Amino acid sequence: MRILFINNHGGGFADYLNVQDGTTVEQFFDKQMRDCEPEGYLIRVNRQPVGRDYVLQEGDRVTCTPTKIEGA
Amino acid sequence: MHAEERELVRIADRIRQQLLVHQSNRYRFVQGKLGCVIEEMQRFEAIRRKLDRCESRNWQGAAQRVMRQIEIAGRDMPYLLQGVTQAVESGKIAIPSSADVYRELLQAEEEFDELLVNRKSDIVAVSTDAIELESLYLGPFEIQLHIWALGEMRHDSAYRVVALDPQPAARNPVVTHPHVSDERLCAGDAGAAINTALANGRVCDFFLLVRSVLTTYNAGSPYVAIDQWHGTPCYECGYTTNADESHCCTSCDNDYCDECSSYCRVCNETTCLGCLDKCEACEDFICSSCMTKCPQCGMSICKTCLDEVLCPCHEEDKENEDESEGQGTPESTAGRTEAA
Repeated sequence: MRILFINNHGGGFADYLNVQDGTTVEQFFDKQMRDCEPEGYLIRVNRQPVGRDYVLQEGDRVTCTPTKIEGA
Repeated sequence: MHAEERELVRIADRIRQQLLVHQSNRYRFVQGKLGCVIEEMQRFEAIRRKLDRCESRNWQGAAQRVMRQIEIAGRDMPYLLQGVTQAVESGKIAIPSSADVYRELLQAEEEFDELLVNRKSDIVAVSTDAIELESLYLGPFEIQLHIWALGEMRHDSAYRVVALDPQPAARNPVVTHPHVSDERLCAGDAGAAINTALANGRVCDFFLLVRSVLTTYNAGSPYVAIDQWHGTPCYECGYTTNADESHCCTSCDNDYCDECSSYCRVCNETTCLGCLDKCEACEDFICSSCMTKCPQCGMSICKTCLDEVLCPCHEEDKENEDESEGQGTPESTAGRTEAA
C-alpha cells in the first residue's frame, strides 16, 4: 500500500512510499529513520498523534519532525 | 485574537494565494536563468560564424584565436545550465489546496493550544511555552508567520521570532535567544526543512520546526553564548561588564573592565595593565609589541625612544664625551707657547 511520508529531518521532502500491509508506525519509523530514537521526534499520522502500534492504512500521511534541531 | 473557523478559512486562502505568487516568482527566476543560457548560446553562434569565415578564407591564425574564444566561452556553459536545472528543481513544488492549508492551521492550533491572528498585519502566530536552556530562562516566544512575505523568493524573511518576556543578552540587547537576533532566527540545521515546509504550505510543520530550534542550544555557534549571557567577567578582577564597558586586550586577547585596562602610549592599542611595561627612558606604559631593548645597554625602552636615541645610556656617553673634550683644550695651547 502507498503512504505519504514527510521527513522534516534534513530537507523536509515528501515522498510516496510503498509499505507492507500491517506495518505499524513503530516498524515504519525503525525502517525509515534508522539510528534515530523515536523519543526525539514528533510523529503524526494524518496530523494526529498516534500510538506506536497504530497500523498504517492506504493513503496515510506520516510526518516526522525532530524535537531538537541545532540553530546557528 | 483567537481564530474562528471563518477566519481560518480566510487565512488558508490568503496563504495559498501567496504561495501562488511565490510560484510565479520562481517561474520568473527560471526565466532569468534561461535568459543567461540563451545569451551565451547567441555568443556561441557569433563565434561559430567567425570560425566559418576564417575557415573559408583560410585564415589559420585567426581561426586559432577563435578556437580559444570557444574554449573560454565553453567553461561557463555547464555552470549556467546547472543554474537552470537547480532553479527548475527547486520550483517543483505542489501548491496545496486551501483545504490542506486549513487543516495545517487546525493542527497548529492543537499543537500550540492557540493560533493567533492579526488581520491588519497579515500575520498568523503561535506561542511557545517558556524556554529555558541550560538553566538560563529566556521566556516564551511568539513565532510569527508574515503571510504577505510568503510570496518573496527568500522565505527566511517571512517569519519572525518575538520574545514575549525578553531576557536579552547583556552584551547585545537585540539577542533574545542564543539563536535569535533582532527577531530573526538563525535556523541552522532546520533551514532547509523550514523553507520546504513554507514553500509547500505546511504551516504547522514550519511552526514545529522553529520551536525545535528554539528549544535546542548549539554551543558551537550562538549569537551570544549562554555562559556570557549576563555579561563578560573581567579577566583580572571578575567584575561583570556588558559589551560597551568591556575591553579586549590586543596582547593577551582577554576581556577586561575599565579599571583593569589601559592603552599603549606608542600604538594606542587597548592593552590590559598586566601586558603593559614602563619604558625606562620616557616612563610611558608600552605594550610588548612596541617595547624593545637598547642595543647598547640592554635597557627596556620603547621603539620611539630607540629611534630618537633617548636611552639614558646615550646621555651618559654624551656627558662623558663632553667631559673629555673639556679636559683636552688647555694642554694643546700650552704646547704651542713653548714651541715659540
